[in-house]
Amino acid sequence: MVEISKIQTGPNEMILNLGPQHPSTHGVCRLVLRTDGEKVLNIDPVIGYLHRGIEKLAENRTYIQFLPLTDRLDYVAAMGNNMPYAMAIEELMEVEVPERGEYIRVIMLELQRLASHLLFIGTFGADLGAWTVLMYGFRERERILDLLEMVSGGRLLYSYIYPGGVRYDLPEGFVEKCRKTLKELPKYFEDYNDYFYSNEIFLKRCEGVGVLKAEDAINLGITGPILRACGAPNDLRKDDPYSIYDQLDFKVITEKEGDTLARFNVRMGEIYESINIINQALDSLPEGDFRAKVPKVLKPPPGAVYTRTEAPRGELSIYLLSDGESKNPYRLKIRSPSFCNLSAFPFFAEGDILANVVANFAGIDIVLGDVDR
Amino acid sequence: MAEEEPVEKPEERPVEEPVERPAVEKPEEEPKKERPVIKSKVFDEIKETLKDKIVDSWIMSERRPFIIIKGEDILEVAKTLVGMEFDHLSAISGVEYGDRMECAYHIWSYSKRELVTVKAVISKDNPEIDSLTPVWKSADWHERETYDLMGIVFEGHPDLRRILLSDDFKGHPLRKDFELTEKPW
Repeated sequence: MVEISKIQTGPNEMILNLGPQHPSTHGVCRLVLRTDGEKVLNIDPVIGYLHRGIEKLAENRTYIQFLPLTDRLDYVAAMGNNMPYAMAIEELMEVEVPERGEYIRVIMLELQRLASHLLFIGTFGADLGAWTVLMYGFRERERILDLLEMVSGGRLLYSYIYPGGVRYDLPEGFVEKCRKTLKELPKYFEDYNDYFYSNEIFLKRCEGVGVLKAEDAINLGITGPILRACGAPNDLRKDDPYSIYDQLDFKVITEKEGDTLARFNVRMGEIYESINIINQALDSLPEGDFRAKVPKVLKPPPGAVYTRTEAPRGELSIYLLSDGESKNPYRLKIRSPSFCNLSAFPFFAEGDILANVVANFAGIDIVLGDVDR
Repeated sequence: MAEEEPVEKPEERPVEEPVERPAVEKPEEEPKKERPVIKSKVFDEIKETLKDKIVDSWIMSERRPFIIIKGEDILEVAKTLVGMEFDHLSAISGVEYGDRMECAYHIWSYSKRELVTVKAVISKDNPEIDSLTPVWKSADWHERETYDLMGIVFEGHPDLRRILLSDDFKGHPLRKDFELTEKPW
């Protein structure tokens, strides 16, 4: 925490609190800014308002009881959170996931990435004053949520990806509905292009804001679309392939500029790429089991695993330690992408003007449930 | 002895569990014998360069080598690894065992595509270790978090204060002896 009265300020300098409850902070995050007129000299993010001690809760719950809690990390991309946890258990217990299970997982993960990026586009517009597009983003996201509801029964938190595969098989008519939705979505995305790229105010507020070089971004621990916007073609789906990503043909979207507009462009590009991945997976979706047989009460052998996935916001990893005797994890550490991306935020937002802090903050697309855990 | 079925009423569990488990030790030593031997050039290279520093090492699965070192060597090991293009510090996790503490650094190399987990063993009575902020800037918040939740002190960290919990919070909740308060209902 920060005690405002103890911060040293020079002449003409002012301390400004942004948040914790601010429409542009995507949850409860407080930014303590030291400003000199319009210029922001120093940023100190204050987090922890949503800290639920999920890592401690894991030690007091069985492996399966903890699965629903992983949903609550990044609550707008809950499928993506189930994945590394399920992978960690499978790796410890040496469970082989059936092929159909892996295909369904990839379809769900990419649908989730779509939904998450659409939400980003909506909120990003809203943060920059383009309120119309907020409704656009939500409108298309709703179509994806319908699909996810169809398979899992939930619209926000799913607990669908399960150790050993997925919880249920795809319901009847899902494949057709999914194909139909994916075919119709791109024509709506054209609206976004018109809306954003013909809007000079939007472009002026994004271009050249928060420029970051790839070396710096790597040293700062930035992952995901922000890193790819700096020109580094690093995507864990390619670099450290998991599930069936190595059998699919897709591009890693990169941009050279490293500014906020590039971050937006990368996410726009990834939306199309996700549709491509889902279509490929639907085409070659095999028949068979959707889940391997796993015992009701999991008791993995002793060991330590570190599983990594490319969540919509960057690298989401889980370090899971089992002692081999207890039914609970011995220690579980979550490496969340938002936490690390937020930690780097002051480096590229400091020294800029105050209005750009909001643009920068919107561009990193964090979710506070993921930051605070 | 805490639970038989996962459906049991959950009230007593949080109070009992943490007291029992510190007795368990070395959970990570078995698997290296059971698993098939995985060959890794990077792993051999690391073992070659850091010969005298490594206490133990194994490969858990593909692209996941593990090494154990002494806590006081961490800064030197980190600098060596950065020289070997291990450029991305993915996470730092503190783990408490019955007799010792461990600080696990998960370091990824974008060019070599391997993730080495460096486990630095430190004493439980005096959990101190050098800060890696001079090597990776991303270590800053990871170390603050580990200090906050686990109570490991990082020497040389520019601004070591609590990050997720409030300043007046007592204790470090991820320690096994941290007493969870009973539910008020």
